[in-house]
Amino acid sequence: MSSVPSGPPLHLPDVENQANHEPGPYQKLIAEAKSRDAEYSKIWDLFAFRNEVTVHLARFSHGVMRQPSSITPAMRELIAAYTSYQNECGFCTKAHAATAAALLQDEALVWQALRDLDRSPLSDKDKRLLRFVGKVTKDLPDVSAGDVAGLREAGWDDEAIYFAITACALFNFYNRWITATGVPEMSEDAHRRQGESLASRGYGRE
Amino acid sequence: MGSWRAALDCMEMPHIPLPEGLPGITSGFAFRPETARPMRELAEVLLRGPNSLTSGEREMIAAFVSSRNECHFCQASHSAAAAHHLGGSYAAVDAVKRDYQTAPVSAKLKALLAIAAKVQQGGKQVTPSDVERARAEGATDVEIHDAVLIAAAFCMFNRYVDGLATLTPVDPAAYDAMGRRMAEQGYVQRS
Repeated sequence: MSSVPSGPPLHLPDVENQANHEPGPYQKLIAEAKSRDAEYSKIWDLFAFRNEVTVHLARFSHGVMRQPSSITPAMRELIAAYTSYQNECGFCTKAHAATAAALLQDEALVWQALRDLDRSPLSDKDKRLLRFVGKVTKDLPDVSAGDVAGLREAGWDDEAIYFAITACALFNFYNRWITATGVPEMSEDAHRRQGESLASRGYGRE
Repeated sequence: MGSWRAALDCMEMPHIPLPEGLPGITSGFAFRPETARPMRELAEVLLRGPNSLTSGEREMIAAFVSSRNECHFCQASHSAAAAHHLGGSYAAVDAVKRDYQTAPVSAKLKALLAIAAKVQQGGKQVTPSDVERARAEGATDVEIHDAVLIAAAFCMFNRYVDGLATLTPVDPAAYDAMGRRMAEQGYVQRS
């Protein structure tokens, strides 16, 4: 295993042992990166380890994040980054901040929204949606119909609210899966490249 | 608006107009059938696919995490599914939700539940020593990974269900029937 490019080991050595990876797109991506001694995202190890699970996960992720709807993919990526920031998942925050930045062509705006939402130049409508996402992440039992009524007042329709909740829920999954198994953050450059790839091709790797 | 918790007793209306008459997660599924299929497939392989952890053990992890997230629909339906995998008795799953450390389950499952409890709080709290403890009780890396995966997945399913405020039945008999179906027929509708 190469030392620098792939970063510190996962908590579960069996998961990143290539001998345990199932044949599929992620196994190929990892082998290709290793052959070039290039930095790669260790989430690929998680995907390669449990192909029969992750094939559904990738499809679901692509649908939630990219299916045409009244909420843009950029806003959904911002929701992913915001949820991840709230959950202190460094890997996902950087990955999806980079994707949102690629879609919005504005990296500064994305980081302002994450670090200080109230004072960021986002519209009031967008801020209200992100505050709601923060509540679903941190304070689920107290989410009420009143919160959703506030989003409608701000101009979000039910389809957008559905996708916002589902994207937030999805990243509450990813954040835990990734931090509990010890997937390390990558370099800024590698996150930027991955963000551009997620922005242009989405989540499917089939 | 009253809190969602208080509304559990009287079946709150969903926050957005979901198809009527479908309980819990199934109404969200019906609103967007395209996202439903992979979500169902995911539940199927996580909870019923081939695995060295039994379906009863996996459903107990699901019910335990959902209970800590205060998601009534998920905790009640997956408790019922666990019970039906375990010969119809709720004793083990109820004990796990009350205090897993004294519950009548294996030391290995207790170590996996300790990891699941930390995953529910936030994945960052899981340390290599938690993993070590689970290994010492005989858990393999695959089992530890799958416990993390199930716990994390229920942090997603719980938010999907309660963020949308789907219809939450209160009648325990409704959950018992649902759990039996989940245990016997699974999560993927076969046409």
